[in-house]
Amino acid sequence: MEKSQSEDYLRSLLNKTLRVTTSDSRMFLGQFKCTDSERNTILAQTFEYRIPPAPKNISGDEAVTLDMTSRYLGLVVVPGEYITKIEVEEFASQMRGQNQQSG
Amino acid sequence: MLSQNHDLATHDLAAQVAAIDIDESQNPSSANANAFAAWNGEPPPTPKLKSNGIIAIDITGQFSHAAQQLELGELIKDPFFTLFESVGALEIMDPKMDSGYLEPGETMEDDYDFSQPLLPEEIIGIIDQLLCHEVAWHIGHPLGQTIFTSLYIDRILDPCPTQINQTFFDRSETSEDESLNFQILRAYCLGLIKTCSYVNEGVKAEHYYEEEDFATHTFNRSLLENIGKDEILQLLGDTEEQLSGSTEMSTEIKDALICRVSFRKKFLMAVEDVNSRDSMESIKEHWSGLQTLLPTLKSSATLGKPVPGTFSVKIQRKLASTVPPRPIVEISWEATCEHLERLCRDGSIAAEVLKYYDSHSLMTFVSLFQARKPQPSVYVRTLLQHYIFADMIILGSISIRQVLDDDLSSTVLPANILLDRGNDEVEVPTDPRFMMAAQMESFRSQAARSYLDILRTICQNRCRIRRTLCRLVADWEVLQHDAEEMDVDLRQYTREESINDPDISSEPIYSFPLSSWAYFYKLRQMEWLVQMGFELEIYQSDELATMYWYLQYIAKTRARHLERIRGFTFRASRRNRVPEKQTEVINALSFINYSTLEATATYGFADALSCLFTVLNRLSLIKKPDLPYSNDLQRYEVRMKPFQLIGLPELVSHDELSKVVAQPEESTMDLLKYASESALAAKKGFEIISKLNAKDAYCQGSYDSWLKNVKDCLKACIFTGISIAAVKKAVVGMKDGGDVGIKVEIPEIGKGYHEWWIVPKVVPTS
Repeated sequence: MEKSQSEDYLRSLLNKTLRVTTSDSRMFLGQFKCTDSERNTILAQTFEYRIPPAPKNISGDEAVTLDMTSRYLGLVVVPGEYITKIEVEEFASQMRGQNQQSG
Repeated sequence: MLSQNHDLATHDLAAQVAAIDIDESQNPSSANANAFAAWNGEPPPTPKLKSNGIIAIDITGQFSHAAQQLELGELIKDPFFTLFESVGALEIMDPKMDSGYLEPGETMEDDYDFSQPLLPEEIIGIIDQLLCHEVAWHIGHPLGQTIFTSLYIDRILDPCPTQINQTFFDRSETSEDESLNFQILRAYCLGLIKTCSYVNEGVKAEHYYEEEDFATHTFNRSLLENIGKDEILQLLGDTEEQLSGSTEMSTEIKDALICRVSFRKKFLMAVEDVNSRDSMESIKEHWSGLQTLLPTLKSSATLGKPVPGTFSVKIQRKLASTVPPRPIVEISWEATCEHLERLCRDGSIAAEVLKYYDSHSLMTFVSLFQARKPQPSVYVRTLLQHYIFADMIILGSISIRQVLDDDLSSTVLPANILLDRGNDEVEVPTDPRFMMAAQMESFRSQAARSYLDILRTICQNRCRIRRTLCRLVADWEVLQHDAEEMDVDLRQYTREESINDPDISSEPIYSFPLSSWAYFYKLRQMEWLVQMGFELEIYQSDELATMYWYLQYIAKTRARHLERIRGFTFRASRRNRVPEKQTEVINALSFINYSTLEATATYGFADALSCLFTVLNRLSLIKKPDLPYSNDLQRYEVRMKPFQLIGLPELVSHDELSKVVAQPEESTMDLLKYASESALAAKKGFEIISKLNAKDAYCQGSYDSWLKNVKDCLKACIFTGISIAAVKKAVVGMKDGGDVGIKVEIPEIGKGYHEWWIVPKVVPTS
């Protein structure tokens, strides 16, 4: 990707909902507002999600569903060095449309 | 560890942020306060992570690659998103800002076993710690750093229970296997949370300053709104009974626990009931009942065994908050008990406001109550506001109009047709009485707000009182002007006869009752404004001569203004000889006399101090502080800013003010002679005032605090006389060009006799 393409790509993500996972395996879900060359990323109206500690007294065989505990944080900046994963949320319906176009 | 580049990048961002012009004057509160304000409402609902319509696509690679192409410092940002906004962003993984950050190996939650049994001594320890936290919250610390740090409280509140049998610490649904110890703790915690809920609602309903006075933020936790107080009181009552019958513990421990459960029960009942304005006696009973438990509570704390492990700063990570985790606030047991004692005492006194005597006594009550040292707590101050203002019915029984009419009648309009309620009944628009009623109603609607603002303002914290007064005097200036027009207009209906006295003026003189009234209150507030400046240590010691001069200037204007009002009232009384109306006139004259006496004592005292400080300045006994960033003119402008908009009394210009304060043409000895005469006159004034009864001094309902206040003024005045004499002696004994042989100490605020009278202490240097 060239520089201008890269800029366009990042710009196309602005205000979309991103799910940014950090090195301590928390995930932050919020609207993408700003980034720089170090991937320092600003998210607005952000929720923090955390995998709760494993419950005790449950034998290993049983499958358990754990809901992520969430907490509202608002505006956050995630420093690039701690980011391990970035996901973008898309509407499934729109994705199908895009796939058809590209395919 | 931060990489070099990251440092650079954030530095760059920081530089750009710093370059943004932030208007700080609009935002005097801290960023934290703003953050709180922003989330005080409900946060948006949590988005669902799993939804059929939405898929998350991993773009880590593309994103990282694209970002790498950017120049150092280049930003891709939403054009509507400003860097100014980003100042408020929390930096994730920064332990100082990110409340969710965990040290390596650290766990999110405390591995606390809620089923582990507790000793009765430990229950006492936890309860006492919770009480300290509750008091810390009362004095202004947020719940997140106080009560909410308790693991047991957290266990009850999260998830939010909808009924009382969802509150067991072991998450079971029946009380069958709950030990008595746990039941005590649970009942206490439920009572505590419910008490806080009432206090929080009470404070929020009135005027206070968030974070500055009190933090009402509950971090999106419900303070047991779903559980009724009766159920909790029932549980507390049952627990108390079971405890009394228990044989498991020593009598000492048992009594200590009973005392705590009973204290909580009474506290909860108190905070619920004291909001009712029906009976002053019942409010006082609540507080005195609570107070009787305090000595036992206080002394039995030694039996308790603290369990610090049941409090954790980590709980803040679960709270909806944009602020980073902050340490648990620790306040001592002694301070806690002292605060509770004061709360009971102040709460009980605040209820006395409910007995209404007259409008002036009401104002005296409020201002003296708020001047108590230490100032009553925010909760009590909001209770007082509730008693006075709730539902726009003053003290629960009097209309605002009644208070206002009382005040007008006892100052400028005794037995006057303008206040005749009969005017309201007239329906003929051409009738002058109809017009009078309409005009007076229009005046009341404007004046009521300004008048009640004074009362409301005195209920705030000391610094805010002064700040708000700056605005209020401007409001009253406007009111005075508008009232003047109404006065002129009303004359066509009242057919007021003018006074023609060529000695005073060639023009006919009218009474201007409404604007006179407004002027009187404006002057009162201007005096308070200057006096609060002394109390709050606003002025430097070399400015005291000037500020006391200004105080005497305003007080003297008030005395002269009262003289004018007296003249008109007196004339009116001779014309109006209806006996039942005479009492109103006598009452008004009595108030005018009292206020004149008080103004005279004030200006005499202020004059004496002003002259004394001028002499001390002349003798270079008061060090002028080193103030490289301002000059006298700038300081003058700041001090006089609130008075700049005031038409009357005229603002004294800087040059003139420096001259009248320094009085260069007077000799030092003459100044001292004048000062001691003024102090003596003021002393006589205070002595006369101190002998008045509650009715004549318009302090019914607060006579004792009023008398103490007057006596303190008197003591300060006598002490001023002593200081003047000491300076005089030193000046007489001073050889030409020699040392005066004395030095001057200015007592710190709170160390003198009265906060509004700063009296220098003269000591020989030998």
